[in-house]
Amino acid sequence: MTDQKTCEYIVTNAGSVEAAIIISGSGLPLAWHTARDTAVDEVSSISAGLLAIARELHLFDTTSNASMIFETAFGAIIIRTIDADSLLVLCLLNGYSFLTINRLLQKVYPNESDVHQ
Amino acid sequence: MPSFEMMLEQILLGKGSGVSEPLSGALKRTYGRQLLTLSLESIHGPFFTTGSADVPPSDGERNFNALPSLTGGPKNEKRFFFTMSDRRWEVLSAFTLTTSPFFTTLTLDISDPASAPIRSRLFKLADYFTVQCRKLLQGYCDAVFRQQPTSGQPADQFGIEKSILRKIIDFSAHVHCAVLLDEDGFIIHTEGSSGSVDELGGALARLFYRSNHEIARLDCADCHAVTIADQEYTIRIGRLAGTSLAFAVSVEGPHATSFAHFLHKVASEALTDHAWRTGQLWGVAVAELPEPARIRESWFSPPRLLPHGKFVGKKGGKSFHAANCQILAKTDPSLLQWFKSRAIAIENGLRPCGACNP
Repeated sequence: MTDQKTCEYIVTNAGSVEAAIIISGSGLPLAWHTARDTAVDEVSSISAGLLAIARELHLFDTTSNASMIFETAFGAIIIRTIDADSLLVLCLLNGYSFLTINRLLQKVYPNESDVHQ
Repeated sequence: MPSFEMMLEQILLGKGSGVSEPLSGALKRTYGRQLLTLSLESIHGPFFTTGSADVPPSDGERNFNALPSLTGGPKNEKRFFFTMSDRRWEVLSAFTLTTSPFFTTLTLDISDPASAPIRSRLFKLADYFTVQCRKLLQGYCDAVFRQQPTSGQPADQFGIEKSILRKIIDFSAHVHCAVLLDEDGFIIHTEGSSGSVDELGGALARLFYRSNHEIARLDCADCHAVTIADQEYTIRIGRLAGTSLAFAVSVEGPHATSFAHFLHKVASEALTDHAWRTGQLWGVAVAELPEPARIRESWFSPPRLLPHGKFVGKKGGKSFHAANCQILAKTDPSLLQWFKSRAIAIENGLRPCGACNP
C-alpha cells in the first residue's frame, strides 16, 4: 500500500480520525489525507516540534516501534514510527479507542508488533 | 494489599477466596475445551486475557459502540451482548468505573447457544466474571481514595500524597514507578524502583510542559497528558487539575498501556480530590482555574466562543452576535459582554450582526 493509500485507508476506516499524515524525520509532510479536505501544514509543523522535543530529551527513539500520544480537551495527536525515515501522525477527536486505532494500524502495517498490546 | 494479578487469580482459580466454585472450574466443568478465551479490557487495551492464541481479540470499536445498550438499562438489569463469528460465540458485558468503560468477554465454541439452558448458564458465568472484575477494580479505587496517615506513627506532612503513590505501585508487579513532579521538571516524590527515575522524571516533565507550548500554537488547545509507549513499557504524564504539579506513571509488560491509563486516572483523581479538600498538594496551593471563554472542537476548525449567554457583543461595539458567530471568536474574552436575550442586547443600543443575523 502506498503512503497516500495508507492515509486514505486510515481516515476512511476510523470515524474518529480527522487526519492521517506521513511525515519525514524532519517534519516534512510526505503524504496526507484529511476528513475535511483541509491543509495539514500547521499540524505537521506542531508534530515535528513535539518530535524534536522528545528526541532532544532522549525520550523517543524513531528507529524502534514506538508511539507518543498527546491528549487535549477535544482530541489527541498520535505520532508513531513507521521506519527510521518516516512517521505516521494521526489527529483524533474525542471518543477514539486506542484498541481500534491499534488494530487498524496492525492491518496497515502487519509486520509490526502491537506497541500498545 | 495483594496486587491486581493476585486478586484476579483468586477469582479465576478460587485461591484463598472462599469461593465454593471458582470461575475457571465452573467454566471447565460446563464447557471444557469449548471455552476459548476470557478477557477483561478497557478502551485502551486488555487488562487480562487467557485462552487460545488463535482467537482474535475482541473488537474494540464494536465494544465501544455497544456500550450504550450495555449500560443504558435500569440499574439492576444485567445486559449482555451476544455475537457469533466463525462458529464462535462471544458474550460481552460492560461496567463503568471512574467514568471509564470496562469490558469482560467470554469466547466459546458452542454449537447451539440459542438453547435456553446453555444461554442461561453462560449469562450466569459471564455475570459472575463481570461482577467480580468490577468489585476487584472498585475495591482498588476505594483503597486509593481512602488514604489516611498511618496511626501510631509520627504525622508525616505529606503522608497522604505518599500513600496514594504507594498504592499505585502496589497495583501490579509491572508498575515501575509513580512520580510527582513540579513544572520545572524536578521530582517532588517517587515511589517504586529508583535507578534512572531521576533523569527520566525530569525529562518527562520537560516534555510535558514544552509540549503544551507547542500545541498551544493552535489557539485554545491545551495538552492534558502525554503517553510514550514502546513494545516493553508505557509512561504516562499529565497535569493535576488546579495545581502546577504533574503526575507520571511508568508500567512495563504486556498490558502496560491499559494499566498506565487506568492508574494515571485513578491517581490523578485521588490526588486532586485530596488537594481540593485540603487546599494544597505537597505544599502547593490549589487555585480555581478560570473558565475558558473559547473552546476548540477540531484540529482543523477555528475555536469558538463558549457561551455565557445566547448573545454576545464587543464592549463599546455597535452590534451583537449569536454565541457561535465566528466574527468575535478571536476577540479577547475580557472585551466581550454577554446578553441573555435579544431584547436585552437591543435595549443596550446594539443592532443585530448582518452575518449571523441573531
